[in-house]
Amino acid sequence: MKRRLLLLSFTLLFLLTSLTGCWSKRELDEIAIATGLGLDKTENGYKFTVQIINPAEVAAKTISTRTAVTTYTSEGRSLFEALRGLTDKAPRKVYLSHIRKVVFGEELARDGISETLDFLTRDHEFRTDFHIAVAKGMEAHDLLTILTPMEKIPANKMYFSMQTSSEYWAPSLIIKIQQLISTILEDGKEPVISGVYNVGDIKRGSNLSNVEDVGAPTDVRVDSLGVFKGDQLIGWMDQLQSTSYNYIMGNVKNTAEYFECKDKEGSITLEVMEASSNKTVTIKDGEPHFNVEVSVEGNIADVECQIDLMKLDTIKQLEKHFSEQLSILFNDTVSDVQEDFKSDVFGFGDLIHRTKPKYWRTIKDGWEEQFPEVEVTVEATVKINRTGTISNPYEFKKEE
Amino acid sequence: MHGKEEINLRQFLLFLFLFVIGTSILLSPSSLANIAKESAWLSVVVGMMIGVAIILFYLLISIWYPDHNIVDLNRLLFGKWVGTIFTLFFIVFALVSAATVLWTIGHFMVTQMLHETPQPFIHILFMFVVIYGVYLGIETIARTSELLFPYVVLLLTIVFVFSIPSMNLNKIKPFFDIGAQDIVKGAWFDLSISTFPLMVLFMVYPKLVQEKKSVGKKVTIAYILAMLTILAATFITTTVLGVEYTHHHIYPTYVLAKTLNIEGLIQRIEVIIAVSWILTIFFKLSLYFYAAVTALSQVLKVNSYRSLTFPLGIFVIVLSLIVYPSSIYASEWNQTTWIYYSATFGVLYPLLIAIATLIRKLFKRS
Amino acid sequence: MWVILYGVILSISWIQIRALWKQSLKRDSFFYIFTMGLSLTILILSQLGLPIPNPLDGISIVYDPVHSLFQ
Repeated sequence: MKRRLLLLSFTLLFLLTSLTGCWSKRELDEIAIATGLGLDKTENGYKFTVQIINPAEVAAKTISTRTAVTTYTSEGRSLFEALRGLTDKAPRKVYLSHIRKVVFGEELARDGISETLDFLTRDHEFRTDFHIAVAKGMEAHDLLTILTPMEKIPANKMYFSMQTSSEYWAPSLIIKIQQLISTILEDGKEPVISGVYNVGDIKRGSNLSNVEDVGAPTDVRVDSLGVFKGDQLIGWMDQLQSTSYNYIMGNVKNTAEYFECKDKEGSITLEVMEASSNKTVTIKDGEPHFNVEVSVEGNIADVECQIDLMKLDTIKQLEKHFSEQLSILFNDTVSDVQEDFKSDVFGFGDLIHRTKPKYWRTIKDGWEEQFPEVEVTVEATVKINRTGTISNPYEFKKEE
Repeated sequence: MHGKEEINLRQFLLFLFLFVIGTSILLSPSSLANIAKESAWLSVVVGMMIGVAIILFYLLISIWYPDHNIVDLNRLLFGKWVGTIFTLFFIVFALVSAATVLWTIGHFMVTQMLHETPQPFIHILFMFVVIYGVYLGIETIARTSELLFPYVVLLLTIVFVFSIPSMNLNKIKPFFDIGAQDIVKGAWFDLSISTFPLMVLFMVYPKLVQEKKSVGKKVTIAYILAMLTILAATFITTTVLGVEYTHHHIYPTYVLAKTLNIEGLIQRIEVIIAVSWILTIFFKLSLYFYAAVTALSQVLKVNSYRSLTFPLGIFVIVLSLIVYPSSIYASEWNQTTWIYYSATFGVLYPLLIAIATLIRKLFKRS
Repeated sequence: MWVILYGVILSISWIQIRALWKQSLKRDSFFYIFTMGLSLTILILSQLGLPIPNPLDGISIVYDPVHSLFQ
């Protein structure tokens, strides 16, 4: 009995000291929670910018004159060195698990991002759910200093802007690290990363007065795509091209599509409810020929010209008209990408690899040179389901 | 001091299941994606078919010798001296396996979760639980497995089911575009982690299981279910993460759980994978350790294996601290030595037993 | 931490060995002390930073010819 008691107390003591989980504990007031990360290139290494939450401000009920976030910048020869270099600037150790956004400076992106991707996945503190973006035409550092209205934390604002716009606005796209790395590693596929840029004055944007204004003169936009070749940024697609890219890749969930009426007077806008794409490849005389079918379903959302929507014929005509216009747009985009970027962002090579592995092996090595030359046909079909809550457009009398 | 230990067939089947998925659920997808690329899942299927044959073979041996464990068997078939040497080899195998499994869990915790905790202390804490479990006896462990098994299944199911929406079959196309050699290689690797070590289970436990009714069918079903779990893990990781990304990660299943995000409602559930993995690996480690302790105590003819549990447990901890100097060494060793080492015990040794048995039968007749 | 650990190990050993002695299980206690002594020696040696031969290296040497055969 005595022995049992002794053993029990030993066990309890041992468990008490060893299972508390206090080994490398970090209390909330000892860590600096980073929400955004900016990576830039400097002459001999990297510039590392973190956007850190100012917890007192985020939780504050009374309005104060301090900003909700702070940015710290440090330079180092490698990213990890720069990260640790932060400790002599920031009062607390930076905690990276809540990163929402990683932004590459354009210069760094043009130079190649693969080295930084290694760090972003090797370090255990990073999760994989942050969005990746490139700061278009600027340093990531500058972008992270812009304060935004509505969302107190700018990285969150970018995150949610991208989240909602990727659902309701065709040109934008969410890229996560796992996708990006897979795309760079796999053959016959090149990545795109969404670009983020500012409108308005950057200096003004980093001042609290920016968010005191109703219109917030400086703000962040997320609607363009950067084309990569391997791990290097080689150019930007404009908004129309980005839209077509997302249609062809089947990324579009819901968007608005603007069409001019036949007689060029007024316009019709379609609310796209569903879009899908199907890519196929056929080999003719040893040359691959790609066929992309994009089917779009939508409702009429906005009519600004005089047509009779109540006739089945008109709807059919409209469908045909829209299909043609979209087809032209998509085909133009593909040939533009082939000519200007020479980068297989559509994954056509990957398509051959997945469906015709034997043929792929014969052309794999020359694919990069072959891609700009291959024949691609994109065909769009538009289907109109509903006309909204009213039938024909109102016939308002206009003053001539 | 203690009476004869006994577990029932259901507990044995749970052991089998937990033992098979033990380490492989977290480790296999990565290596399989590396070896068999897009056909990683096919490797598991091939492995499963070979595996069924192998475990039925083990079962056959245990039916031939229902009252012998490995020590008795070695003494009976190979004589006192050679038999003892064989038993010692077996003990070394069980100890090394236990140590490597312990190292793996320590490494996993340190790289993925408790970054600044010294690895030795994770080994020590984990092993103390195992030592205590084995000290209390196999029946206790068996009952624990009944208690914890539902949680393992539930947690894995949560992760697997919620991964389904992000699966993309295109990532593992083209199907079947890989040499048969690589598929077999992948299958072999998978078997070396999941199936060959089952020999330990079959060589020690049938003595403890008294229920012998329709064992073959039940064992096969349990094994297939376990392999299907591994298949699911491999299939889901490669379809969600892609082949390249899977093979660049050491613990892809954990990364899979990290990526999971269902409409912002269900996210950051990677700890679920960690918990279920720790549970399964507890049993794998306990079974290895129990096999080593019982075999050793039988060889040394000590009164009860319980008297050796604690010192040998400390020995496993010490061994686990020195077996793998680094994670690179670990994966290198697993791919160059372990696959043959475990095959020696998982294939060669049972064959040897079968041959010896046949010869013995012939001699008896003449 | 290590000091606490050694303390725990030694005190558990002490209790167990005493129990074994009381039951006059000499063989058991001999192997107990032997295994424990071996483990602790290796542990202390490895903590002093002395190179301990890794059993896996030995196994690797044995299986090396097999591996090159299959390669």
